[in-house]
Amino acid sequence: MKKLLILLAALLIPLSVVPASAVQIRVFVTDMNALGVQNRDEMKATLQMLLASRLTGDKTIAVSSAGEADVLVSGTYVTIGKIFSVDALAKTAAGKTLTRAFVQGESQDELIPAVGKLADKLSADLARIYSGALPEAGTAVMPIPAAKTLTPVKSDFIKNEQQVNKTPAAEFIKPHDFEQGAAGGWLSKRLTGAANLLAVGKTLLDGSREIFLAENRRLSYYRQSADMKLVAEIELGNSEKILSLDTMENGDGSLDIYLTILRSEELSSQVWQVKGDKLVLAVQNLPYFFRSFSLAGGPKKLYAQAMGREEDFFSTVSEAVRNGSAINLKNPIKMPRFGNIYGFNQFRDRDGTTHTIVINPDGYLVVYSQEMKEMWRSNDKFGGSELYFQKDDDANVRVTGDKRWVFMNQRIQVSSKGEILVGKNDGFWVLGNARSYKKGAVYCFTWDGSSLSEKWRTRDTQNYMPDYQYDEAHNELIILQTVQRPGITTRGASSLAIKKVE
Amino acid sequence: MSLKRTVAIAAAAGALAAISVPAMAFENEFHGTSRLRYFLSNYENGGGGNPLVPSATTGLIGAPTGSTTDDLKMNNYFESRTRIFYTAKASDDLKLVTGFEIDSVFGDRAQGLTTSGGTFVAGGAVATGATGRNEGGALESDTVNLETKWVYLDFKIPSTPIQVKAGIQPIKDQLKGIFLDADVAGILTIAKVGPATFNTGYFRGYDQSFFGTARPRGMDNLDIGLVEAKIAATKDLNFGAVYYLYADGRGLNGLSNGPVTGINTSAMMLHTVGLTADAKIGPVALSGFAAYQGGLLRNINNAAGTRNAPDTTAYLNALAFNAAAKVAIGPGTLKAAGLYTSGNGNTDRNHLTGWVGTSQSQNQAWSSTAGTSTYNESGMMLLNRNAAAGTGTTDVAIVYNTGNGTNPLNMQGLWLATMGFDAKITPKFYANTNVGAAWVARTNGLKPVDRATGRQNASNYMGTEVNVEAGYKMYDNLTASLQAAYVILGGYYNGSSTFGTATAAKDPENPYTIRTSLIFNF
Repeated sequence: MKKLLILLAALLIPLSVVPASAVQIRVFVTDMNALGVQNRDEMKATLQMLLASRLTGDKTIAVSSAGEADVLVSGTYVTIGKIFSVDALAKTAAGKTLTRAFVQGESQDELIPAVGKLADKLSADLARIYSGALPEAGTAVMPIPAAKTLTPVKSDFIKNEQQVNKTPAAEFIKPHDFEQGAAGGWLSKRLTGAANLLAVGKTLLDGSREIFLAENRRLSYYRQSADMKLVAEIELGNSEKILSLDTMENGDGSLDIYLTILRSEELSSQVWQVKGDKLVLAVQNLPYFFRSFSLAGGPKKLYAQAMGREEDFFSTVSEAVRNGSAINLKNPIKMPRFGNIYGFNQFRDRDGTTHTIVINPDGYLVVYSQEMKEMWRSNDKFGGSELYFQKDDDANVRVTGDKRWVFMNQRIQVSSKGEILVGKNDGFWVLGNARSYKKGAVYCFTWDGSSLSEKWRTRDTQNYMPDYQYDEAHNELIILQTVQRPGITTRGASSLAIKKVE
Repeated sequence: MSLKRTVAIAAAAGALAAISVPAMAFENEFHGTSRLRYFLSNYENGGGGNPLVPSATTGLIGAPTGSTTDDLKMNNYFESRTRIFYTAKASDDLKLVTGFEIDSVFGDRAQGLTTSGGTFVAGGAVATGATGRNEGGALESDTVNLETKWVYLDFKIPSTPIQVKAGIQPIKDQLKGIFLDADVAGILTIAKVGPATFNTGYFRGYDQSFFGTARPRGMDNLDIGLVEAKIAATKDLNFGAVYYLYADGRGLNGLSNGPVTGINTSAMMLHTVGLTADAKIGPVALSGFAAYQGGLLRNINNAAGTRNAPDTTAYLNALAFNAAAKVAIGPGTLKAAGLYTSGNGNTDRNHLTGWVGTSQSQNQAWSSTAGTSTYNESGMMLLNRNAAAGTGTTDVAIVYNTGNGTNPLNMQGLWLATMGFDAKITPKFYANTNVGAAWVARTNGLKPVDRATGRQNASNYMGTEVNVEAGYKMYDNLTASLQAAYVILGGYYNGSSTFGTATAAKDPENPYTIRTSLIFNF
């Protein structure tokens, strides 16, 4: 009898946890912020009340407290000139993002109808999520504009708890579980050219985003909205090779595009800018490797490192500021063993102590203390890139008959919350200097005081992942994939995937 | 004890050992190079050395094997060389580095008729059926032709900045290889302190007791010492100082200078010191060195008796200078370089002044066809020994030794000026071209005789090489290339062909080579 009761209880528990689709979803509007308006507090209260009342319908019902609610909704009302926008974010009580939506209008007269439309969108999205329905086939879900929301029903992110705590439901892996690739998020069409590098520019007024891709000798400027629109391209000389691509916004709002270029085995880097629909060369022949990133999760800055006469990466990495055609270096950062501008970052632990993380030549993540002593090293390999440059190897050419190969590596990005993101490629053919990776993923770690703990990782791409970027402002991962490698007469092809980080 | 119990104890011991040994992240690293080349050449035939060395007795230059007239026949052959490098990496600070080589020429020898080339065989006899290095390309192959090139431990001494390499390893001097560029057994330490790097090493080139001296091991050696210091002062400037010791306690037999042959010496000690620099000034990369070589050769004598008695020691004072520049222009790189090594006159005194580039000298015999000094930045294919353009068993050059001689007594010295342009025509197609001219620095017995005059030529101009290499990168790791080089011999060789007469003197045929290569590097 006792066993029967336990079995009954076990069956009932999931029923009580999973909300039935026929039942209305209980929604609580927690907060509405108002920017750029007079009587701000009054407007906030008004918007909160308006949205709550319009969220009450067939599918959703507004409740009076967060404790009663299944879903918490917060939002922002902002006016710029005559245009206004109301943006809303729906989360579970546990804080998990469910959906985002926005509406915009051109005058105050349109505000109340707009709030109604916003409530309709939220209701529809929430109803779909809680009913477990998948998006209609063939409809791409767009992160920008946010009205086409990303669905968390089937995640591109594998969280650590999933791997550790859950036991498989069966001994057999069903196709659904086994499915990889871009199950959600946004995926570009096939882009001509096997790009090695990716950089994100500014978000434009129309909501589109500037994306820059670089092949060995070509820089392509795209605008990404519903699709990727090629705006401009430039091609470098035959003796030049692009080793890194980064962007940096200047104080005047203009964007610098930094191309690290190797020419005749010496650095001859360039800075480009977007002028209208064109790419314009701003500075050239700069003898530095460049990379822009958020050191220890701080503000994004430009960094530079020189090449020595024999050393590939000479001495320290410094903050770099462009002043016309000159690069001024300051605040040098001493590199630990294996550290160079492309394979390192820093993070802070709970005590605020800064540690350095690098990918060593064998692909292991190594964490160093402030005294540059090794503290921890991963058991798995990370990083991996097919992009390389070559230098004369006079000491060994008698025997090898070859130049020296120096491979670039994946970015290590650290978010403002201290999360450490690392790219990883796996290959079926990685032998010496012959590299051909077949799948990639981005891993997110946090420092638990003694080691890096995996927080989540993306599903493996079905292709080599040359580069990725974490856009913290939009909370999105932008992943570049090589869908076809360049051949003797072809440039190959790439694709871009954008995944909302949940 | 019963068998069962023994097995159980052994199994338990094994399991305990497995548990108690800490796990190590062992890395296996493979690299390699494989190249197949097809040669068309009048002087190259798979061997090494300078094909234009005059006869010691007549001063005239004969034809290479296979040709019996001044109109030389063209050799054509396929040469294959594969090298595999395996590194067993126990940690960042401990690894075992190995390198292996397989060479052959299409149709050479195989099965039971290989030679034991490279192995010391009394009387130089060919041992049929023995293993055959550089062979195995004949029908049905099946030849034991795997050679071990490198085997050395590479480790860091804990809590120090000192890295140690111990075993058979590649060593190249910092004088761009003009003294020593070889694989040699020994111990090298590398200490990096800030921007400075200090190298010290001891290498044993030969131990004569292995050639039957009935002496204890390690008493009659060729010992090589190395001390190098280099500082990366700024990103644009490196400079350094080097010292190399070449102490040959075995003595050398059969040395010569022109008609004087059969000269022996009981010991040779060379001290080489140099200063090196490598800088970038604006867009131009500059490099160079200045070096002095001093030493002595003990108990020099020949068949006629002790030379220059009562002082039987010869003293050496030699110099070498180099300067090179590179600059990126248009679609490629423009290069220019010059090398000077001092030369030796006729050895009628006990003062030698010819720069000695090292060479193999197994069993006390200095080899003029198996060198261990190189000068690669010239870009030449036939004019001087450029290991970067070669890397096969074919190893022919007119200036084969950087001292421009065939043994330490007849180094003529060298003036070598070269220019080149490496261009990328498309991202996958490249074309390199070089031109270079060489002169001997001093006249000695190695200079050819003009048959018309019966005397050595007055000119020191050896010749000018023009070469071109065009290649196509089919993949990142696979390149197909075509090399062609032609040398216009200079006045140094006037009328020195053995096929001429006093009334109709002939010049040796100008050397040429055409090489088609398929190169896979990984």
